Amino acid sequence: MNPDLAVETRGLTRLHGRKRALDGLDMALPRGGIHAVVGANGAGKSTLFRLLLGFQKADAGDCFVLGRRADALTPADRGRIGFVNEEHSLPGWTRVDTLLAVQREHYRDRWSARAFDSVIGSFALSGRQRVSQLSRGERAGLNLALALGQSPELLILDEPTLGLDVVARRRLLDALIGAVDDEARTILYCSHQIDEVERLADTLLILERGRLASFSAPDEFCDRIGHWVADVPFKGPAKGEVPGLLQHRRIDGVHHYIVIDQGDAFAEFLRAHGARKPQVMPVPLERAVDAFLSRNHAGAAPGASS
Amino acid sequence: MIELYKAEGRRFGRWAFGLAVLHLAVLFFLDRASPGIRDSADAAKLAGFGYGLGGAIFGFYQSASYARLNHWIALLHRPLAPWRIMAAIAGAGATLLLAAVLIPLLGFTAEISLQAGRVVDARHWLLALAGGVMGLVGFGIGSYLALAPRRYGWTALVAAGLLIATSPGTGGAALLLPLLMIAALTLLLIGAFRPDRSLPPSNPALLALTAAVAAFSLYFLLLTGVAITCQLGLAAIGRNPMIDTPPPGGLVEAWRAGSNELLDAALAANAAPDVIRAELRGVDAFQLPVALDELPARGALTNVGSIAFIDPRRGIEWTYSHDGNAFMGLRLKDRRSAGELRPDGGFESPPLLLGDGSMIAGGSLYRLDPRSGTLERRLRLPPGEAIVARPVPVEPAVAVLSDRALYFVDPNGLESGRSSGGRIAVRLPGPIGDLGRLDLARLPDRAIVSFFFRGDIIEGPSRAWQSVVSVAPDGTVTRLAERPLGPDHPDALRFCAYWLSPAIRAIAGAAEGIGSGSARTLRRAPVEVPRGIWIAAGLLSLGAAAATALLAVRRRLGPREIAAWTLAALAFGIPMLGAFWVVRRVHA
Repeated sequence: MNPDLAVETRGLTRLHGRKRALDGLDMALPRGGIHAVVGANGAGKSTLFRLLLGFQKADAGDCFVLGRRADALTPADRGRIGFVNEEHSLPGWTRVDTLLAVQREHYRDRWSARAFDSVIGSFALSGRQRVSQLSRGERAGLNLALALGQSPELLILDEPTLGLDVVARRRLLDALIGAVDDEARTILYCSHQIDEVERLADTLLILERGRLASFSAPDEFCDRIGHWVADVPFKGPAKGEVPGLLQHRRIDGVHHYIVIDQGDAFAEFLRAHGARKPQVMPVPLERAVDAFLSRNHAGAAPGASS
Repeated sequence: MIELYKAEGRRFGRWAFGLAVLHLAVLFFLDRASPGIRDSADAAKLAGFGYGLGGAIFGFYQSASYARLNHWIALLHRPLAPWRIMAAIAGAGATLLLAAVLIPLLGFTAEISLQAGRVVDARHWLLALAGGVMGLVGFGIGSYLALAPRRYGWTALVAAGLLIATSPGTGGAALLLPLLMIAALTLLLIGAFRPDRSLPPSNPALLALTAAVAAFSLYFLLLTGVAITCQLGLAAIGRNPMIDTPPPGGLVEAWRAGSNELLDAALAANAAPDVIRAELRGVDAFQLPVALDELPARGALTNVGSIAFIDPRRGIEWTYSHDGNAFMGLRLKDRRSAGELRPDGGFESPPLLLGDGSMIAGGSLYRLDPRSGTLERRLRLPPGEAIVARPVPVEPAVAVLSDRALYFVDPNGLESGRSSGGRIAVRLPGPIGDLGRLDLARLPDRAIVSFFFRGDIIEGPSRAWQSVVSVAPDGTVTRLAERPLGPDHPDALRFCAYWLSPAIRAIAGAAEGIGSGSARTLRRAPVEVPRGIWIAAGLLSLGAAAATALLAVRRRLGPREIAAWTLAALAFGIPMLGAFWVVRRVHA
């Protein structure tokens, strides 16, 4: 256990029946910054968060949060960790002001009215409104405001913008960016919206089938991915022969290869297979993540051919 | 915590208020529509069941609204210990439930107490309290069902249902068991109120309580299962005495026999004089009532029978008050108080009305004198004895059964109140609790009485036997015959309560009848358990302990926990193995 880490997992494994939701996950997140977790559905993101919060027990391995075993978090530890889930599971029968009163009482030692107000100010809520009367966007805003108001050292956000329209999503992200000014705070952010990740994240964690497939800054991850375009008059190299291949498409007779961890030598590889004028292009993060995650998915990329 | 409590209170506050108003209205409506319903034991039991069911539904609904994982995280992930969160949430629910149940009941009782001639004793206030307590028991069960793992959450329902249904408590003691159950359910809920609800409690004491409740429930389910399986198996091979022809000389045959056949069979088995058997063929023997299941007890929350009667000559309705130990009068014409009515020396115990103004109370029989309007003692048994059944005329006497003897009383003496000289006592040859049947034949010069003793159930473990005596007019009692009645069911069925878990059987036996007002009629002979049953019980306990240890090792429990579970299985046998199976199913 390293107390300087916000989150640390060692060989973390969780079974759902016979399926391994997490499969020997090793991860070490330093304190501070926004760490984005992405992965396909079923990659184990939500399971990871439940294990971090101690609401599920690992079948194997260890899991530490803010220097404490996740399955032994004390109430004081929980006070240092904020959590927002994708359903924004606030009690629908409660009025906004009641919810606020409860939260203020529970986090009275850490409560930041400024942080709360900075977020809630973007949403025109009345204290007498019941949570069930709020729109999904308003509920998400309230949930985030409550979580930030408790001044958590670690804030876990599990797809907080899921199901929100464009306007609500922008307001929520603006609120989040505005509120995240504390360098000591660590945010673990899970989203399928890569543009959000690109905008927010300091580091990018890609989970795949319960394992950590990549851990780097988003720019570094993009730098690893190359999009090569080449005119290959013949069939071209077999899929299995292409080093680091993530995705291959043939559009109008031109071959598009998205590969990982290939330098200029990949141009030589293409030329060796008859390619003319191979060119490499930068890959936006969304495309890079998509290619990375879909490499093992049969038929995942429309128009892909081998 | 207090804000969480208040927030949850606001959630259901309006509903609770509405329910309380409705509840009060229903109580007053029922009282006006059927004034005697307040003193009806059936109505009280039905109401108690209703409060329990209502509490269970409410508890289940409230807890289930938090049971989904994301809602559970939202509730528990806060800087507050889980037990304090539970105290706030369940405490708010329990407070509102009590308000909706108890306040109307207390208000209703208070209003009745202000009415002239209406009897309100301490027990009525306790009965109102019992309504709230039943609601809380149901609330705890419902909450536990919603939150505990499905593998064993149901065991609390089974255990609580069994205990409530068989609770023998009387008066304040009747509240003791539900209050203990509330305490136990609270502890169970604390154990279930943890972040990972799929796991059993981590606290050893709470885990032990969870296991004990599971073992207790499984014990009774296993008992039922063994009984049904045995009965079906016997029926399948054509040897079920309850369905097929029972074996001769056995319990079932005797139980089904007519009075004459029963007497004759006993006499024949003991080579009794033929003259008596011949005389018996010429008369019609008949059955007398045995002890009532329940007798009135001081402070009992519910009544065994009616507690009011009307003196038609004076137009007064007399209602018995436990606190005053007397009947309180209400003049029917002007609904004003008509004073008190009690016999000289007062009642030994609350009376059981027999109709026509007569009643039994303890060892005395009273009758209302229509001319004087006073209660006259017509019969008094020796001190320490109590009449346990309705007296029956058996020409030329009246048969009165006490917990120690069968009396034949001169009816003239009963009328005059000087019956002590004109009665014959036949001591019971066995304990009153085992007396299952009483038969009588009147011969010209004597009476023949058959006492049939058995346990409370035919396929149970108690010894069954019959004793026949002759009673001469001068009071001489001669033993004519005595025969054992063979058990018709296999020992495996009769003693399954013992071999399944002798320890749980012993605990249940020790608790039987505690605080009961019917302790007199519960006196039974000790059960003689065959040595083979003890050996089987020991072997099964050893097997259960070995299987538990093996499973515990496979589930990678710590050495202390393995030892604790193994010892528990050794002590409580198969039910504890079952409890381990359902409670500790998840690998450590």
